Amino acid sequence: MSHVLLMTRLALRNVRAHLVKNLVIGVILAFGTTIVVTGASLIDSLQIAMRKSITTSVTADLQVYDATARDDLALLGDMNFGGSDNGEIPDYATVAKVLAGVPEVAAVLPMGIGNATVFGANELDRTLESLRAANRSGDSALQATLLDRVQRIAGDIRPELDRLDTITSDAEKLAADRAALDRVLAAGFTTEYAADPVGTIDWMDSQVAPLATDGRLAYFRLLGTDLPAFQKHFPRMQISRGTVVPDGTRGILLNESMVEQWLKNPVAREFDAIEKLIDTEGGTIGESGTLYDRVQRLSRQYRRVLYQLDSAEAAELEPLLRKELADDQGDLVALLKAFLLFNDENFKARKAFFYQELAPRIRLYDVNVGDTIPLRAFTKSGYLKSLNVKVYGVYRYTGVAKDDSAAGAYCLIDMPSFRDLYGKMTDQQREELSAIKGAVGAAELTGGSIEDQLFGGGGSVEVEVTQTATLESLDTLSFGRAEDRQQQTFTQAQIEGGVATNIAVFLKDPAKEAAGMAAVKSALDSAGMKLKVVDWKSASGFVGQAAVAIQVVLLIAVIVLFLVALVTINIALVLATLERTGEIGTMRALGAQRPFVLQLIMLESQFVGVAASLFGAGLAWALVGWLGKVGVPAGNDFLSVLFGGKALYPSMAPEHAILGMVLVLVVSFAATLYPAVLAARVPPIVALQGKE
Amino acid sequence: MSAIVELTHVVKDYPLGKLTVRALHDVSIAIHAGEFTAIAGPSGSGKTTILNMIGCMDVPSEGTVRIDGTVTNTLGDAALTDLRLNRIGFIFQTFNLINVLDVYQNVEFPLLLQGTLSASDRKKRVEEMVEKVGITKQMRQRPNELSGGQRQRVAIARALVTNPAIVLADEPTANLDSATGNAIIELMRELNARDHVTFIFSTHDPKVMSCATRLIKVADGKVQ
Amino acid sequence: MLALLFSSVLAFAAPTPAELVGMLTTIDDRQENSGDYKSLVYIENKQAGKSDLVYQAVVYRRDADDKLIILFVKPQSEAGKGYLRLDNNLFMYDPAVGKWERRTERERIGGTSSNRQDFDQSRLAEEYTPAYVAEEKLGAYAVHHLKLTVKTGADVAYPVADMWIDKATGNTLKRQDFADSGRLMRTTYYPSWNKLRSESKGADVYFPKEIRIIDEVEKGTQTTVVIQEVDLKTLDANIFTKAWLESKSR
Repeated sequence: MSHVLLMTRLALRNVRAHLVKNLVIGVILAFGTTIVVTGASLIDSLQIAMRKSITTSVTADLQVYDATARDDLALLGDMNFGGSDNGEIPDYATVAKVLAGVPEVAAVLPMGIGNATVFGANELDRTLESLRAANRSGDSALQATLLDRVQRIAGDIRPELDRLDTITSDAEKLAADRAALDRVLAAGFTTEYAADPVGTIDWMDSQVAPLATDGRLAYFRLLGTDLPAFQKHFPRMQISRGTVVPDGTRGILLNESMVEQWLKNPVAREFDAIEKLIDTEGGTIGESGTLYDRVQRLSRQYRRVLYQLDSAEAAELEPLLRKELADDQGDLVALLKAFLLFNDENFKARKAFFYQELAPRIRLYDVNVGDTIPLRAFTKSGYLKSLNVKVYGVYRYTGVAKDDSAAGAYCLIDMPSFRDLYGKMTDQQREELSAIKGAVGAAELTGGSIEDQLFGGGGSVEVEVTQTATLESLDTLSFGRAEDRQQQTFTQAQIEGGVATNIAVFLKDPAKEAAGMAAVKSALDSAGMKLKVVDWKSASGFVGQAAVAIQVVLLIAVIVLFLVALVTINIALVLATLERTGEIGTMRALGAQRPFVLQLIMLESQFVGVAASLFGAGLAWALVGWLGKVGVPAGNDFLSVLFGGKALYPSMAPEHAILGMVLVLVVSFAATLYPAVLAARVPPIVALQGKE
Repeated sequence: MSAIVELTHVVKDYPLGKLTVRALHDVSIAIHAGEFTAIAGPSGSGKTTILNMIGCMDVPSEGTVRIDGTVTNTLGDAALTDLRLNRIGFIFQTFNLINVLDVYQNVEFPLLLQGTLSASDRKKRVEEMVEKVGITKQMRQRPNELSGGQRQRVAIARALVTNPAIVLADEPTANLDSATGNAIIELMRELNARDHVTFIFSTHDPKVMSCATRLIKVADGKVQ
Repeated sequence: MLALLFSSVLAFAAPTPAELVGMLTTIDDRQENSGDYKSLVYIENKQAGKSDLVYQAVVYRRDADDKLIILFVKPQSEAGKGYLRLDNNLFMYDPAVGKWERRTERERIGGTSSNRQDFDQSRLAEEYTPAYVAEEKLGAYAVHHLKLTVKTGADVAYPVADMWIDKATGNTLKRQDFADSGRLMRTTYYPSWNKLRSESKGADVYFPKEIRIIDEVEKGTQTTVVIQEVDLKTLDANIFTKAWLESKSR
């Protein structure tokens, strides 16, 4: 007892006596604590945010997929967009039955990952298509409007062709193109059209439409699923426009950020993007080269607006633009170009004008709620498959800012439509193919040189044949309505029976992820299913891996920091011990045992350690508290996925402080061990050697 | 009456590289309780080696050293330390007070290491010793606030507080002016006379030697 | 005398440009029918690691108007899809979505390595300028090796081609197509040619019995086109319209 008293007293006094040294050590340790505690809080908060962001948007707690898949499942995207092969689960229902029997599992959901394209026909194509439909339905007023739009577009392209004069290598083609446009722009064209609408449209299709070059292809990442169940299990998903897809009906829900990024009118999108750059990065059009270039480019995009206006709309718009631009002259084209060539002063006003006056008069989005869009994909068997799907709505996730584009922004589609595009061949189809093959049978060229096999024989290559069958019956073939071949509604059993690429698994207790994973795995194994189970982090793909990488980097940083601290403290203490040999020798001479000296030195540094770590933890608490209030801004889209929003709001738990303090005390303990042993080895004789 | 310190045919060799240096050649000394002994000799004479043996900081190569009945030859560091704590008081040439402790705490230090006395007994004992050496007024001061003589008085109090069998004083006056030195010598003589404290000095101060009841001269590792 | 002999040797070794164009014209003329042309073709695509693609299609040609339709009839899932060539435009129709789409000359027909030219009328003389490379042997056959370069304004999949023409019969046996970069894109073999008497032409119409296409870009991919039947009767004019192709799936 008296030992402890003496040691404590001595230690405390020594700490005070060697204030500068201990302050230096204390600051290092306090800094270390702050870093560790803050870091642990951030990592944990990030994990929680990520978990929330990822598991509640698409991955669920666990994912099950084909164990023989060539690529790892990467639901939030990987480096090879669209090229990954996650294998398949031939029949979802049988796997779901096994999973439902696992007590840890709360729910399962079928998923089908795929890609599709939607051809964004150019504006002229689109107009001609509408014209064709209007002609079929006999709507003459609409035909007149559309024909007017065709002429407006032709009128805009015409001067472009004159500019090509000097650079063209094919004068003949240029002349033909000019003639075609002149024909459309001629006064008598409407009469010409009226005389033969179908022929004229066909002619425009092939002669005029190719001259407009503004078509583009949109890529869709599809997630086929049981849509009502998806909405139930991922409650963060919210319909921002339109409605949900009615139960048992085919349909697609577009992802809002995907719509904004891919389907919005390019001029509108550019307005949004420039505003975002100015707001988030503080750039100005005057000073930032990139922004300046973008504005220059934007003014050349005026056609994206112009082509969508008919005469009446153009007539309304011209005076408005003239008023907005005040001193600008010229026709609508000149006005539009000038309007889009904005600067820092008038940007806000121009954007407001755009959305107020221009946007309502154009197609702001290539695809709107209620449209039926043609999705196209290459099926697993290699055939090109197209499918019309109705867009019921646009969805987004709550907690994610509106314009944050999330990696892996899926468009949600019903399971039967996914399966149609996925195109797994049925046995019946396979038989049909082999029947065709068997009936015609092209000899297979196997091994050796193809040329030897084909041309080795000699003899004449010409063969006289006579017609053996007339092919008349082919002309009258009819395949029936394509829509009729496609089932429009379906039952729950049809959703579940059939192929899926992966299965989302929700656990009853998400905190017991590892146990749940093991239970699911063993259930699948004992059912003899060659499927693998991964956690949400791994299933999310490179986002999850990047998050792990961030943690590893932070961990390495902490380790390096501690090593530096350890070495620094160690050196400082060794030097301090050398200075104290006289004092230590005296204590030894007076009868202090070696362990006493050892403990005394250790105690001293632990006092410093405790004080410093308390201080550091306090500092971290204040820092994390502050960050929790103001938020760590996500900076880019990738981080906003990790953060589950525009910013991360970290919070500190007691275990973070404990972790940090324990770690720091361990470090200070380790750093003191060697100097303390050195001190304990100081012989009592030094007391007699006249040192003090 | 048996000797309280007894060196019998003590030989001490120190390794010096590959050579062995013999610091003591067959030294035999016996010091009895209550004696006021001075060990004198020039530096390198073996005086310090003898002091190390008596102070239980070293053990002989040959022969035996017996301190208050305990043979130290085969003792390990812990046992030697115990012996120092309980049987020997030390007074150093450079006072060797613990700077972070005040006078009272410095004196209390060995008692706390021993851990045998209760807090109240300890207090009584410390105060008694402090009074005995005449520094009661400075009891709550730090060593660096004291004069050399006062410091050595604290050291004497610290050496005596455990009632050691012997007090080993290594050149106690070397760092003091002669008046102060004399006073310290006086104090020790007084303690010797009144309390029968056994003092063993190493010194080359003639004044100290003149006060000694016994003088042991050492030269070339031998007692003369 | 010597000069005459020398020039005739030269003439034998390297045909004149006019003679080369003549070779191409012969090939074109043989395959052309002054009336219409209809054939039933089988298309098969083999690709490493994937299941085979198999189609049966009807090809309608009105060579006089440069019109072409490829209508898929089998398998059932592909029936009704088709291509229409009108005035240098290639349109694709998919009844599943009821939409037409303009495609390029390099369109891989039905996802195979074949392209529009494999099914269409031969227009070599019109589209390419020939040059003579050498007389060579191809298997057991003696062949003329020609280098063809696309003429300005012609719409073809690849701008440069090498052709190996049977010396004995004047039929194409092998062809290699190159991209602008000089990269070999595909090799095509025509192992035998059928001759069918045409009433409207008053002569034989030639068509390859089968076409073997080796994809030189995607290694291991090979497409075989077998022309099963040819019918040279006059076709209804309304066949070569979008409406007709659409009507097949109504």
